[in-house]
Amino acid sequence: MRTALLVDDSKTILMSLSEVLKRAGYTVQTAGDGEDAMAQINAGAKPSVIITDLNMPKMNGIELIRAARKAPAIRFTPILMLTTESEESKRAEARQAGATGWLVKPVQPADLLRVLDQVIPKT
Amino acid sequence: MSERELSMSEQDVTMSERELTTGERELTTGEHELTTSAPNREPRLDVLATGLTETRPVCDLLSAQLDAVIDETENAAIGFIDRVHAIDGAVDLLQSRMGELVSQTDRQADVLEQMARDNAAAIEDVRVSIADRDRKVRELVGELRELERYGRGIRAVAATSKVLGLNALIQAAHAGDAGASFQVVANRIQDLAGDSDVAARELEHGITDLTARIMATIGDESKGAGDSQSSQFEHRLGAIADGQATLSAHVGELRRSVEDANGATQTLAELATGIAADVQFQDITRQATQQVQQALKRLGDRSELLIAYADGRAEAEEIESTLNALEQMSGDYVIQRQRAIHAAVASGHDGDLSKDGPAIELF
Repeated sequence: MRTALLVDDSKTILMSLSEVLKRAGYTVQTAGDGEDAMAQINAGAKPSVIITDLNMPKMNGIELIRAARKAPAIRFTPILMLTTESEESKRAEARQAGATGWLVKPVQPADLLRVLDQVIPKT
Repeated sequence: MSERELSMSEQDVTMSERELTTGERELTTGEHELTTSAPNREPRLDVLATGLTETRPVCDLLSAQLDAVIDETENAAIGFIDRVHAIDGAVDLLQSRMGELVSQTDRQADVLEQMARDNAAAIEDVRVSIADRDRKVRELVGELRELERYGRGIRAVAATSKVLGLNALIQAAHAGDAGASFQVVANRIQDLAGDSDVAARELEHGITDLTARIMATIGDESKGAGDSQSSQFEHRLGAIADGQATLSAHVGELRRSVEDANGATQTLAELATGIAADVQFQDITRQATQQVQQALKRLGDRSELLIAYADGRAEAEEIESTLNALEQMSGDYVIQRQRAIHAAVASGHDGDLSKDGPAIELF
């Protein structure tokens, strides 16, 4: 069973993408910002993939990626940035922090699921 | 310095007389003295400061209105997602029922097809049995007709016997008294010949009648297939088989219709999921709106700084450091479209959307 951790300060993003992922058979966990996500991870959550927004209060997406890459349990977990941002400098920063990929909102459900299939290791 | 203190205190008096509402405001221009540049600048600064007083409240009000817009769109988007979720649930149920119906119609169609095959085989068996029976019956009829021949033979013998008897009577008559007993025998022979002839006729007649009735039952081949009982029976069985084939065809059509409906529900489910994803627009507009709010806040801050400058509470350098609103706005953008609009407004030309990277990139 694949688990996805969705991190975004937008309620509508969390709800709409949860719907997409659940219909595709994923178990979905959500967090309102990077701090909330790291709290769940430190409490033992081990998602198959993390999908995070960039601009969030308390801890933004890039800070989350850096923190997650230091957590042994999820160091190699695929982390996708899902954001309205499209600037190359931010993209490069995310890549350097350890992001697995970058998706620009709005993302089509079929594209998101296809990318997840590509980045989540097959067991 | 004393003149400055005097001008500052006079400004304080004037400030205390001002109404800081959006409605009425009194402009006092009488008694200020300028401590810097031209002597007649003070009234213009006062007017400027007064004009800027509304800016902060207006910006705050606009920002509050934009908050309401964000809330409304978020509530609408959430309501939308909830409805789509409900549609998903209904579609799931419909798909489940459709799946069951497809399975049932498949099974029924298979059963009917097997029944049709079995019936066709049974009909063929019955036809073969009937044909075999008819053949055997015709053989028996043939044998009966052979018996007819025997009957005719018996009648021939009877006729001959009768002639012989007559001859014997004639001979007995010629013999006179000596032929009396022979005459009795001759008479008896004639009687027997007569009885034999009658019996043979009855036998012939019976055989003819029996064969006619048998042939009427199984049908005379020379009259064609439509008249025979067996062909009528075959015809009825064939009608039953045709009916089953028609029913099987209807079930096949029903199965195709159910499969089409099942496909449509699958399409509906995919559309519902797509609609849920389309709600991402709300987050995009929220972020763009929040940047407008940030710009309004900076505008309000600057207006207050200008008022402070006009009142002598701020220096020119502080204002100069804020003269980068456009640059700050540009730095806040997160969507390429915002940058394109900014460039278009600034330059008077259409913005370039092509500088975006790919919408999906795996590192």
